Amino acid sequence: MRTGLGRVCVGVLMAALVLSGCATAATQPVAPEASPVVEASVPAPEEPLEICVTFDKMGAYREGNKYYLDQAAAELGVTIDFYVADEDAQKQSAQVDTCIAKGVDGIIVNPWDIQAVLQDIDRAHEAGIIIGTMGQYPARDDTTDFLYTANCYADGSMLGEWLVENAGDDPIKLVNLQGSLSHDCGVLRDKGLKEAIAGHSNIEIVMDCPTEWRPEPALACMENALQAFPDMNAVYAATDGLLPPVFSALEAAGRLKPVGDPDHVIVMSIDGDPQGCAAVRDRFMDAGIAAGENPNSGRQAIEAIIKINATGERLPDNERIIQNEGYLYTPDNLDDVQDLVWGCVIGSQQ
Amino acid sequence: MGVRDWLAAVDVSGRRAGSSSVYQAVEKETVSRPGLAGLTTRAGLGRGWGIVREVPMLPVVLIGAGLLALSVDGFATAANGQIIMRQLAVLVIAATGETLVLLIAGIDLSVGSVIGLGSVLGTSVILATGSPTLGLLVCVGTGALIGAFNGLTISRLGVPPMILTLGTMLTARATAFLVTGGRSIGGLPADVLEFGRADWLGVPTVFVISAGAALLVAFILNRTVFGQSIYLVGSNERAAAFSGIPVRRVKFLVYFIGGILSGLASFVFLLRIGAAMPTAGDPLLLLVIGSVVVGGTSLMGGEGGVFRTVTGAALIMMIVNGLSLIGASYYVQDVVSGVVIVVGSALGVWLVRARTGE
Repeated sequence: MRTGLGRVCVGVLMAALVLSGCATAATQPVAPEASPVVEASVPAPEEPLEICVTFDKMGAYREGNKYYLDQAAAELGVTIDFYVADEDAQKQSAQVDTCIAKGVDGIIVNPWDIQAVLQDIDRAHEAGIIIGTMGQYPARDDTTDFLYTANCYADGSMLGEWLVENAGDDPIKLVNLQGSLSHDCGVLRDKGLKEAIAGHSNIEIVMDCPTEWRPEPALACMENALQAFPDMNAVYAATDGLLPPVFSALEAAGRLKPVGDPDHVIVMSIDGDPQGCAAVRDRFMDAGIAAGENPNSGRQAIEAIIKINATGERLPDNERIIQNEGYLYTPDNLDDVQDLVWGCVIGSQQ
Repeated sequence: MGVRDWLAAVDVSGRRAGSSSVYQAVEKETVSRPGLAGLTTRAGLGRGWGIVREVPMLPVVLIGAGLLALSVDGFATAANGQIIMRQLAVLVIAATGETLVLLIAGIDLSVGSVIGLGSVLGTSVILATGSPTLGLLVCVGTGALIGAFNGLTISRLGVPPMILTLGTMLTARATAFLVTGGRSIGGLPADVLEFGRADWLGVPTVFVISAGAALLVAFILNRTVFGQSIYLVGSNERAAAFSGIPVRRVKFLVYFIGGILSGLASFVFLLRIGAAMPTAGDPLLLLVIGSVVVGGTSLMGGEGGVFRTVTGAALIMMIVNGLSLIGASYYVQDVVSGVVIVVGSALGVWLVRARTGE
């Protein structure tokens, strides 16, 4: 029994340490190829900088975010310490503390919680460390050293305008798959869409469905909508992650037809991730918005840290806060704009 | 018979006047589980081995800490020690409550949601009144109320704990969303934020609160009749009932205390983060149960303790922290944490079998 206990204890430790060794090898950064989206606007620092990055979670969108962040870091000679908070405000706070303890040159937070990040910003500033946010507005934007996000309102609005223009006078019965209504970007995308179609009486939203960005509620909503409104002829998805349930429900109802087919259901979505790009390329989606945040925000954040580190001065507000508008892509213009669609760029390299 | 009368009638070993043959089995269970109190009577190597038997993850934690200190830059620093202690603060309090529940072979899935709801209500009250004391009372009161509901429903109506606490988990979480509209709440007074960030002799205040709560519960478990009766109910509920232990009352109190601890954890959460959110406890539930099980407390009840849970939590946090410091990817960190939970759980099962001779 004594030997057995020792074996098990040693087993726990060995498993952890062996996997730790794997972990080190698995995380060597691989610099992606250059993207044509943005050019470096600051020279690389003379002394290599170490920057901490903590993301709220991982998924297709954040993977795209990280791809361009790594690319910018490689080009600018910056070392990135990368963390993921796994949708946990406490964990993110601890990660910021770790970064502060390491004495890094700057911290980029993609905040899971917009209130909790304010304390993280305060603690970093007390330690004299540059800290800024990307991805989501903190509850107050006056203390952050920089703030680079998507322009969620403009992204939703662009799709609404596209629908108005392309629907003409045809009657449109739209199913609205919203994102999370407790998330700024979810609210703003929804608001942008609705304000763009307001006043056009031929376009009617027959069903609003909050999905929390998750596919299961989206699938349920689509099934219900197809049942309740057999004449529905358009779907708006707040994120490309909702496209699989949209297509699944349309296919089950025998209504998945390519663009141009007389029975085609209009499909629109925001993000521009690899599946959004593929859906437009395969002509099952009519219009998408490739979020401008992904190719731009990471680079903007690193450049901001380099600038502030070099000058010791706060950035002017027009440089400190930038909302990156997305890019409209459709089956007709995809060949021309695919370099702006981050999902097409990443997808082509996989 | 009131609680006082009952406590007076049963001594620390669970002995009760007019013991029956069934009671003999219960007594045997008690004697075979000495607790830390029992260890004080042993000597030398026997004592050391006894500690390892009672807190099997302790050597793993100590050796692991030593190896991480030698191999990971920045691990063995005071600042990093404080980071780990801050990370442990909420987890240890919540996991201590869950330990009690698992010891009676129950489960409480509502712990994370109670932390979310408590933190939201507590923060709202602090913002409205400026009083952290009132905030603390609301946090603890929220936990106590939900714990009492869980305890009454499980002990009196016999509703399966997993089903009942799943219901309270969903209800508490939804209530927190309704109260806040899904958003987080911040803007706490500066003195509250400073207290949450402060240290006491280099130890974060939030960890001091957490350690105090864990020690108090450990004392209750190891040194009181009530504590021993928790083990007996978890080991053999029928035998405990035959020996005169008020099983329903013990069950109620366990869930009630668990709720209070969840409420306290919600207060420590808002101190630590400086904000509250309905989703605050979402990531905590699995960590809480993982800590308890990795520490060596049995899911089947009757076997385990608070010190085991603390070592389980410390092991998980230490490994996550060490992996972060060496730059391990997010996915690898989860793989390692999963392996630790699996192996740790296996250890717990093995210990129970070794002890019971199955």
